[in-house]
Amino acid sequence: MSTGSIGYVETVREDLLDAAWRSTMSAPLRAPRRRLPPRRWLIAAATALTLTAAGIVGWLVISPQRASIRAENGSLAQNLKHLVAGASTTPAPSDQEKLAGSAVPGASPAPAEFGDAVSGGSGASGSGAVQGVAARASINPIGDLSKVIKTANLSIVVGHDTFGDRFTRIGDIADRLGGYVQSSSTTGGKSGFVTIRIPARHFQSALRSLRGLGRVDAERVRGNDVTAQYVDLAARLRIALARRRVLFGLMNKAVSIEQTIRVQNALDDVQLRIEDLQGEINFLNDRVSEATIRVSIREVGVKRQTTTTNPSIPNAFDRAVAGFFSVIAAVIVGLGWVVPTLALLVVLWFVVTRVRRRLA
Amino acid sequence: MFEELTDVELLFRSREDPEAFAAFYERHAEPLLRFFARRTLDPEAAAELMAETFAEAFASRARFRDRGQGAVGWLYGIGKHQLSHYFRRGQVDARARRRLGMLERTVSTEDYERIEELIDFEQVGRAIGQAFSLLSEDQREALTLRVVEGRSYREVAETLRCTEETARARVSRGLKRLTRTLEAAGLEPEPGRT
Repeated sequence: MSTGSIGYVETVREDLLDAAWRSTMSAPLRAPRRRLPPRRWLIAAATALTLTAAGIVGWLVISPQRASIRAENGSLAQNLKHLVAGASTTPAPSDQEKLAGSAVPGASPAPAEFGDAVSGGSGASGSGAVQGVAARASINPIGDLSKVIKTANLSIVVGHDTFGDRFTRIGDIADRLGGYVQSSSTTGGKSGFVTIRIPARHFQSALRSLRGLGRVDAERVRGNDVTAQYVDLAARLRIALARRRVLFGLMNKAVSIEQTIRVQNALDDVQLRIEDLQGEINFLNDRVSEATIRVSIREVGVKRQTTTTNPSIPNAFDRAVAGFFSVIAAVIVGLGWVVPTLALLVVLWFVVTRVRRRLA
Repeated sequence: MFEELTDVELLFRSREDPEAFAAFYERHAEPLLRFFARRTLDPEAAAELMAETFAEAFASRARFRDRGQGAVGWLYGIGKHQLSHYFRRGQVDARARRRLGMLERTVSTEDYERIEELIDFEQVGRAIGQAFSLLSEDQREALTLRVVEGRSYREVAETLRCTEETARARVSRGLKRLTRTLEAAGLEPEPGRT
């Protein structure tokens, strides 16, 4: 059966041949392009590339900012000291305002209330909490404002048959300096661990006394500056207290049950928040006011005991969540840079292609 | 002139020489037309599908790579794509022909009959009968009631004394099996020369 037997087939052949000649005459066939993968793969690859690029760019953008934030946090305590020093010598109102913050303008100062709130008093109420800090700072030494959690780890080697005596003397040192033994344990009467807590101002003298018990095998002293965190908590507490005061005022003006219930709900929330903040401040105060010293003590010839620290699962989970959000944040920040850049490049490519075609 | 060349060589040559594509067309136009005709059972649609497939093949010839499927496999791949578009949309795509500036041709009465001959209803009928006989009794009855007599699923279910879901399942399974059997019966693309 030949193709000529069906007229339609023959006609299409002629049409195709005409079209083929036309296209050959009008434009030579371009060199065969490389076969591209399916479109969905191209889209997926382009998306993955864009997101990766965005992540890298975002990370590059965020990293210096984080470094500067860390630097700012580190210098915050120092700046505060300067500010307070200025306030103590020349009590200019502007300095106190800087310390107090201006989140609730017009809030009346109430130093006593802040004292309650920050020192863990259960009856904390009112506003002007941080003004209390400023007021105290202008009277007390700068050290009161600077909040540093002091910890130390000591490993001490003592002579033969002196372990019992030295072990007891650690407790004596703590007692003498106004502190206490938080925990202790011994192994075979030759080695043991003691954790003592002493007032922060006696930290150095406690270390000196402990070093005198024997040969110091290892020592690690750490000071964690939480001033910025402390100031932040205090400011938030002040705002919450002011809000509670406003809500109390509204409660008095409520005329219907519905209004009363709504204000009461808001008050409950604020109260909960205040208690949370107070708890955090109390915890910081406790950690700051008392230093923690962990002493590992053993007799000569006894192998050093090591405490195994199991990896903290909740901590790992927190870090994983933080890492996840960090990556997402980096990608979002990066997209802000990459998308406009890509859009510009596409426009540029479009223009260049058009111009080249016209020139051709 | 092109008799000695394989299909693959013809396609490569057609990038510079349109006559080579015409030779390729002459080799495969009629088998492709039969391929479409047997699947659509519609001579007009089959003719248009054949024209569109070749137009698309000509437009894409520069992208052809011989990766083992040969030129015929490539051509029928385009054809199957056109066919699925036709079944999905209910009409033959004409984009490739428009792009090439080809006119839309009508099928004359003589051509219509000639294409029907290509379908070879006798062979197709035999294949369908054979495939039908391979179905189970339940499936055969369900297909007869639903497809041949055009009854609703409720009527099919009442006649067969089963639920509507069962009736649907029998028709669906019967059609699938019928399709597989018909494909195995030789209604497949002709391999041709590569």
